Amino acid sequence: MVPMDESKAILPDSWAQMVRSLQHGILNGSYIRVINYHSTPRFKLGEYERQLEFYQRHFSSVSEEDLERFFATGAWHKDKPGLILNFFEGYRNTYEFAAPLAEKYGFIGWFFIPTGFIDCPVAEQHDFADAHHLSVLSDDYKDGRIAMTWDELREMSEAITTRNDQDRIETAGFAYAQSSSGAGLVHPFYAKLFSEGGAPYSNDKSEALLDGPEATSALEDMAGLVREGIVDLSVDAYDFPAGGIAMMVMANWYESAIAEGLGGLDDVAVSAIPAGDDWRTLQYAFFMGVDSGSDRQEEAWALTRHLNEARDGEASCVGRMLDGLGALTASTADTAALPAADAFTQPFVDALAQDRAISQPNVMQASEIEGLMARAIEEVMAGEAEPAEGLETLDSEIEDILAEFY
Amino acid sequence: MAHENVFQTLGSSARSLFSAEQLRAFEEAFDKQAAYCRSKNYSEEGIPMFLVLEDVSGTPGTTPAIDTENTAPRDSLFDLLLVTAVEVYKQQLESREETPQAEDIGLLLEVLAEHFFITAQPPKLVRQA
Amino acid sequence: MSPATRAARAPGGHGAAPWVFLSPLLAFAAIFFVLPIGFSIYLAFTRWNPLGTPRWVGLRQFEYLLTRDDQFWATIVNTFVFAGAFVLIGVPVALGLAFVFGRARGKAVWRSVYYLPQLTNIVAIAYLWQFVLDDRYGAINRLLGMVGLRGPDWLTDPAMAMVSVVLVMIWYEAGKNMLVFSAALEGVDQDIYDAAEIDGAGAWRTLVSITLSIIRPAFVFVTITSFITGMGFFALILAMTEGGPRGATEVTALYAYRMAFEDLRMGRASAAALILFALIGIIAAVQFRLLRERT
Repeated sequence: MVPMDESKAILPDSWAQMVRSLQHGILNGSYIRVINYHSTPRFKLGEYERQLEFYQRHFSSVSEEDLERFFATGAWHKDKPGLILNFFEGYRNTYEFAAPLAEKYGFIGWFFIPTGFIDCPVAEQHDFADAHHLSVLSDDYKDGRIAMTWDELREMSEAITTRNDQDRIETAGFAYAQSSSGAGLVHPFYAKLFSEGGAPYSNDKSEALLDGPEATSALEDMAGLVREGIVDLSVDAYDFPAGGIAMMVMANWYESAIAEGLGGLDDVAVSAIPAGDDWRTLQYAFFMGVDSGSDRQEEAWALTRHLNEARDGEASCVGRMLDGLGALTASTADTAALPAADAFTQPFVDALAQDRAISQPNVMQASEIEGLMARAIEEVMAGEAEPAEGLETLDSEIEDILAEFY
Repeated sequence: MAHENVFQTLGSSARSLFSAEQLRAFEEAFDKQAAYCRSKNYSEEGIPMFLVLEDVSGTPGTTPAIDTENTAPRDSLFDLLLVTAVEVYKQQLESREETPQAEDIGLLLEVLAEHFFITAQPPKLVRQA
Repeated sequence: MSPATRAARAPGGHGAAPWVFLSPLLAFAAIFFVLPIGFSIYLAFTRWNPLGTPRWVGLRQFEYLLTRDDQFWATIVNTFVFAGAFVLIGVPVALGLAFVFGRARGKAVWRSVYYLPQLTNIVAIAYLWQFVLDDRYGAINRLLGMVGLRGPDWLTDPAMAMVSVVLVMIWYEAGKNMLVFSAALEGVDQDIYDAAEIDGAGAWRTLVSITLSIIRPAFVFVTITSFITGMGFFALILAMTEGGPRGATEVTALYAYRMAFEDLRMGRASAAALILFALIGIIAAVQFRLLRERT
């Protein structure tokens, strides 16, 4: 036996001693069971309910008096063994979901609240959580508590995904859009590439940079979702307005279609793509031009102006068309004449204002190149090629095309 | 692993109740449960744990006095099962790690809780010749 | 016979009259056939983004397609698979249908029913089949699901996608080929069948030695036209799978179409089309020789 030094903490300082005293405690029946919960998100509610049902059958609730008596006597006095339900960190969802559930099944819930977290203003809660190693996970709250990392997106997708009897996905956690131009895969790839600090081309456009580490990392993230069965490539995110898809990466112009399909936007939340603190996203624009070789340039310009110029304080034709879709216009006159951005569009506007929206690169044969990119990305995601190899091949194919012009 | 060690440590009561098979089963369970514990999503799952009263005043072996009149009969066989499992896990950890540190108690308890917590009834204890 | 006599006996008489009567057709052929093909052949030797002017590059486009473009060869393989499956399965199916409905009552109705797809817009057909063949919500997989079976990934699995487009193509063309075969079968004299029966020929023998031999011209016609159609038809594939998934159903014609109108490489697309035309031409000619040999 090792003599205890008074200045040390009153814990056994040897492993063997700790185990021994543990065993004595157990042998005397001086133990009580505990379940430690942290975040209790809504989508796991069914699971928690099943657990609590089970606990109700086999264990009894523990009150403060019960616990005091247990400490005093070293024994449990009720018929069924005691179970303490702990809820740590003071997440909003423990109040909203866990507390009522515990009450329903007759258990006293023990809530441990870090008061600093609770007192923290909502806008700073994410930062507080980060700084104190509290994992903030996604709930369907529209006030901004949203998925913070790509990993959490994966977890959530997995949890939400349901399958039918033939093991086909009925509710998809996350889906990519199937666009004939390949944008459904290429645009999210760009966003992730930019977020990693990468770029698709060199400044003079003579080189493609898709064989670099940023591109590989971005593609691996995307491929990982498919590889782990979280994303099914046959589910088309354009079916989002029909319900049945929880999350997708999509442009703001799809707002009108979503609103029409879902009957409103109440159940829809918009957030930045979870790509870390330095997240970036993609922006692209359409432009109208007149062929400099045309022999009707004047008339063509007149028409272009007619369509794009704001008149009498009202938005232009094109401006109104874009607004109807949910898209944004680059014309400041139109923006001034149109109503302010709604809740759906505001995050997009914020991204632009914060300089986090990087322009889609304007290169010759862009459409052909992005078709190649989509194909390469899809092959990697379908498991038909490895990210690094696929990107290398793609990179040289693109450089062959770039060589024709730059 | 030397099951003899376990029986020696725990005394004749253990030997009369458990077989070497039983101990082997605990060994296998430990690895499986330890792997499971490491993969758990701590933030969203309910993590089971045992809260054990120990006297840490420096004299192992002393236990809180038990008030036999006001306490419910407890399942001492189950307690013995737990203690035996702890002994097995302890010896397993010792044969693996350099010297288990105080923190390793956490894993031991976690595995114990995962394996025995949701046991609705204590498993039948059968002595094998 | 003297040239004058010959000319006087020529159909339609001599002089300018025949040419006058033929001129609409000749004009039509020139404008819609000769000129475009001529232009296309010219383009095959150029590089042309339709927003500019063609630039002569000689054989460079052919060189690229034949030596440096893996995808082009992959599409050639897909084209042969598609056309081959279409002919090998579609022609017997059409013949079978012609047989079956040749003796059925209301055969006019049946022929109309089978011919209906030909009257329907190909894009509408593609969308219809996309709905029927959807993995999750398609009619077929739903029905299979009701008896507990998991249907195949009709349009999302690379191999199954090719099967699907072939099957739809067969369904689409079955009526047309069936009509040709029906007409040919009706031309077979019943007496010959009676004679064969008297001689003790079984059904199969009758089919192979008698029927097929007699309808040989129709058989040749259907086979060769089906082959040519199969080699060049891409509207269905474009609308149903867009060449996917991941190029599994991309046939050369579709590849050339996208090259021209999506990638704006008119020159290279013309070269691809010319290569495909040459392939089809050679094989069709070979088929023709082989199948007509014993006539």
